[in-house]
Amino acid sequence: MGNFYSNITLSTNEQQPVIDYLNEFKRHAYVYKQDKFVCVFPANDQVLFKLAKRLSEHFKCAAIGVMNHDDSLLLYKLFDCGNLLDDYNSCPGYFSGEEQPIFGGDAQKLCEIYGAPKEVEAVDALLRKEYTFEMNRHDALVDKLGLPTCTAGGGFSYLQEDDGPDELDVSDLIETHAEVDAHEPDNEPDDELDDELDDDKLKATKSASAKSASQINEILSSPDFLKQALKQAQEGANQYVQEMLEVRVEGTAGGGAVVVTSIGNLQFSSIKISDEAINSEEVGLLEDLVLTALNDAARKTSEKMEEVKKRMLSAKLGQLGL
Amino acid sequence: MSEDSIQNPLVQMQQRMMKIKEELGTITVEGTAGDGAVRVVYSGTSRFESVKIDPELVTLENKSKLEQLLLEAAHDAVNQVLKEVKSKTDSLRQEFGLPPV
Repeated sequence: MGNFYSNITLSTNEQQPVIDYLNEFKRHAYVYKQDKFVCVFPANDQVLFKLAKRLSEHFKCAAIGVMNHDDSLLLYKLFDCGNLLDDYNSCPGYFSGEEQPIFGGDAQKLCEIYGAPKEVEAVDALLRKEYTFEMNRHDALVDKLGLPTCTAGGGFSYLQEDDGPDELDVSDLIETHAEVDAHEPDNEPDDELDDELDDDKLKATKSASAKSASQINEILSSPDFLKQALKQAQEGANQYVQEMLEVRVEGTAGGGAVVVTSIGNLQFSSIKISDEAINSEEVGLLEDLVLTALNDAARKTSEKMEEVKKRMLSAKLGQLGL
Repeated sequence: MSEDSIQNPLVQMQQRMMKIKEELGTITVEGTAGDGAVRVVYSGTSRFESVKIDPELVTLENKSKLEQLLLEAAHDAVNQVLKEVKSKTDSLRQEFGLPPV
C-alpha cells in the first residue's frame, strides 16, 4: 500500500493570517510553519488545487499544491499570486490504463519561484525520471527546491494519526475549523474557480472517482454484478499472483562476498559465500554480510512486486473503464 | 470519511486488510536449521533482523553445509510469516463470504 497525501506549501511566513483565512472559509486543515513557508494539510483533498489557487491569490505569494496517490501518481500545481504557472502529472494514464507521457513540469518556473536557479537541470531530470515510489520523487523535489521537508509524506490523515514525517513536530500543528467537513462542501462560492481549474486532467480524475462511487453502488445493489466483479477480481489476482511468483532477485553484500537469489515472495533458491568471507575469527562480520544480503533481496523483491502491482492495477482499472 | 463508506463492505474489507498488515508488522519469527546452528530472525514487515551462525560452521570445509543451512533457516523464517499471513487473510475471506485461495 503506497502513500496517499496532499498538501499546500505557501511562500509566506505569516502563519496566523493563513489560519484566520482557513477558519473564515470553514476549511478543515492542519497548518504548520517551517522556515519561510506555511504548510497547509487540508482534510478534504478534492479542494486541494482550488484552495492552493485561492491562498496564492489572497496572500499574493507562491503556492504549490501537491498530491501523491498511492505512491503511483504525483500531481502538483504551482501558483503565484493566483496565476497557474505549472501543472504536473507524473502518470496521466493512471486512471485510463493507457501509456501516456508525463504531463507538464516546468523546472525553470519552479527554480525561479523557489530561488534555485542552479538546479534547473537537476529538477528537470527528476521530473522526467521513472520512480517506483512517487514519494521519492517528491522527496527529491523538495530537497532541490528547498521546500519544507515535512511536505513529502505529510498529509491530513497521517498527521491525525500522529504518523507524519519525523521532522514535523505534531504538537506545533494548528487545526482549523475542525467541525466542518464533507457535509458542507459548498459553503463558499467556488464556481468561478471551477471554470478556470477544470482542465482535462482534473476532470479525468474527478470523473474517475465519481464513476467508482456509482460503480460501487451498482455492485452493491446487483448480486450478478457482484459475482461478476468478484470473478474479475479473482482473475486479476491470479494474474497478479502469477507475475509475483516469477519475480527473481539477487541480494548481495560486501561487494559480492555473499550473494543470495530468490524467486517470488522471498523463496530463496541459493546462498553463496565467497571463500574470502569465511573466517572463523570474524563470524560477526559474516553474519552481518548475510543479513545485509537477505535484506537487499527483500527490498528488491518488494520494489519489483510494487511495480507488478502498479502495472496490474492500471491495466485492471483500464478494463473497468475507470 | 462519510457514513456511506463506513457501511460499504468493500471499504470495511480494506480497513480490515490494513489492520492485518499492522498486526503482521509486530510479528517476529526465528527460522532455524542444523539444530539451531544457524538462526535467522525475520519480521512481518519483510525485514531480516538478525543472523546467527555457530562459529564451527565458519570454515572452508563446512562452507557448502553452511550455505545450505542458511538457506534452510531463511526458508523456515519466511514460511512462518507467510503461514501467518495466509491464516489471517483466509479468516478475513471467510468472514466476507469469499472462497479460500
